[in-house]
Amino acid sequence: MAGRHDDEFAEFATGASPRLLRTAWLICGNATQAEDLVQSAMLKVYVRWGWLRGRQPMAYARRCILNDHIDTHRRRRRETTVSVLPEGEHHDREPEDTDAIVRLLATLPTRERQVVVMRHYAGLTEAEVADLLDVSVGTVKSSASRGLARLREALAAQELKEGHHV
Amino acid sequence: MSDLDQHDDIHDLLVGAPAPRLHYDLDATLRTGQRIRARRRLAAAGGGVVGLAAAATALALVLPGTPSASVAPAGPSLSGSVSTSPSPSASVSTRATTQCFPDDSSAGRTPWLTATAPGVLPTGGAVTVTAEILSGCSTNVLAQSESAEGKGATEVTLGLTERPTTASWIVANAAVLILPKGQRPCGYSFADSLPAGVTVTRGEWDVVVQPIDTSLLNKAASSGTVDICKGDSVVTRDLPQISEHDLGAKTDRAGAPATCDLDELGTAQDSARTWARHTVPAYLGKADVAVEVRAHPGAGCTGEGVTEGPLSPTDPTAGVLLEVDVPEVPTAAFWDFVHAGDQLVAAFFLPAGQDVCDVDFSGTELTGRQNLADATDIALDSGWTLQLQPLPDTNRSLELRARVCTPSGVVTPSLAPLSAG
Repeated sequence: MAGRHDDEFAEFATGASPRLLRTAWLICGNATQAEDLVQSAMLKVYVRWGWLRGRQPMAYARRCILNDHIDTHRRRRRETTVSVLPEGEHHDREPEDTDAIVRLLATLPTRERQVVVMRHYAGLTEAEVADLLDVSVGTVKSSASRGLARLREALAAQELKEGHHV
Repeated sequence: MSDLDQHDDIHDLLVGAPAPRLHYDLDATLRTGQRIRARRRLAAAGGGVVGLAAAATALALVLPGTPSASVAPAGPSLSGSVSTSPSPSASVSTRATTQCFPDDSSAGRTPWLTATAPGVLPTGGAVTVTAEILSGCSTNVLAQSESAEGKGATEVTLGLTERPTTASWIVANAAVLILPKGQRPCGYSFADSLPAGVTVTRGEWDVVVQPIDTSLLNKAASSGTVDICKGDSVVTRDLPQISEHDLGAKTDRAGAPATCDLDELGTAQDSARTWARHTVPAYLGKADVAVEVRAHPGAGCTGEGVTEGPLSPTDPTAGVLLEVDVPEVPTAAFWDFVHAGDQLVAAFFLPAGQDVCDVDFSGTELTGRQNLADATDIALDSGWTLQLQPLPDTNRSLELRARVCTPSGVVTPSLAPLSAG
């Protein structure tokens, strides 16, 4: 039952997945959820591979990840009353040093976090991020600006805290 | 520190931060993806007559270079025949069960309309649209190829299972809309506006071809919808592409879905009737396994859908749910797969007095006779038995076949899983 372009898809998936996994992890802050987001995105890419293979499957996969993340985030917000970001839950699986960046990014609202990761990790242009997130370039600029400012504040606070501990 | 330096710092931070081990399972994508494709073929075939009542049913997008393939008729394996109420608008009396391809010579083709939109592409190339009515095919077909004229000129061939009566559209290299004369696109989900493009009138129809910026193509093709207006009034809001019917079991004008895609139907079908539901907690110590077998007569389904998903939409670790669509009164054994964690499990539904006497692995990559672990039998209220049978993992699970027996002999020598069609 293998598809007609499975080898081609497999090559794409193998090459793209590490970067997509890290992107998803930076956005959601949770390793398990990141894996789920990428797994789900890749499935969507696979079933549309006939169309995507000659186009931009990476962009499509990123869009799926972001959309799914927003959906999941909204759903969890509706279903839970805790005020803490669910992204901050993942403390038991990895050493604490992997939590540092997650804690920093968790200080940003979802949109700012997505913009910062897409701009400064994935390396997309403002126009590409705007298209991906379905917002204006102006919104990307302001979100990036506010996000970076918050991130720097959080970074400084973290360094200060670590300094006090030394 | 310059703004660029700050950005570089953030980049270094994001790239250099230690990350947990992250894993992507390519095999799972291929396995599930193949199941979805099979299921869609099954839904498209099983919903053939229902689909004919809709303006458009499903669409197979075949790009240049894609080899032609013929898919065997994919009727529901649990019932030898599918009865659907004849649709008033159905124009054929025989049930089309074959998925056709653009150069499939077996499909009967009746030319419907041809229109060329010159110079409409950003490259200056033309888009030529040819629509024909197919007979003997269960799904619509789109073929897109470059024309020998150059400048990126594109030929779009639409094979439709029936002559449309309302607006329809698709995204090829441009937006291609086939509209009743006088109607026009007046809103897009993927863009504030599109260039007016070129409109070609053919009889009572307008073929509208509008260029789409390449940066919008993915969005347009993946989820784009258009609003259709006549004069100042909106005739149709959020019209999905023809291909969306394949992916989403959208509801047609008569209220019946174009396909019986259980992923889409979900619990939204009030008329669904549960035939069996059972949960096995911590099956094999791995995960809760639940099966829910329902009839969806109100949705026009007649036993042609199956899907597997998480038991809880919010907790992927809660277990797995196998959903099966059945005829109102199942009469013959049927089965499909479910994954309890990493364990492949067959869920056999067996009428009273019947049992699975063998599982044939010869179509898979597994060689030799497989020793199967003990099955778990669960008595259902209907008098049937649900039998959960752990299976060795295989990438070709759709090729597995079950032999169903009674004490006096074989009832069904080779029963395919529902997903295999």
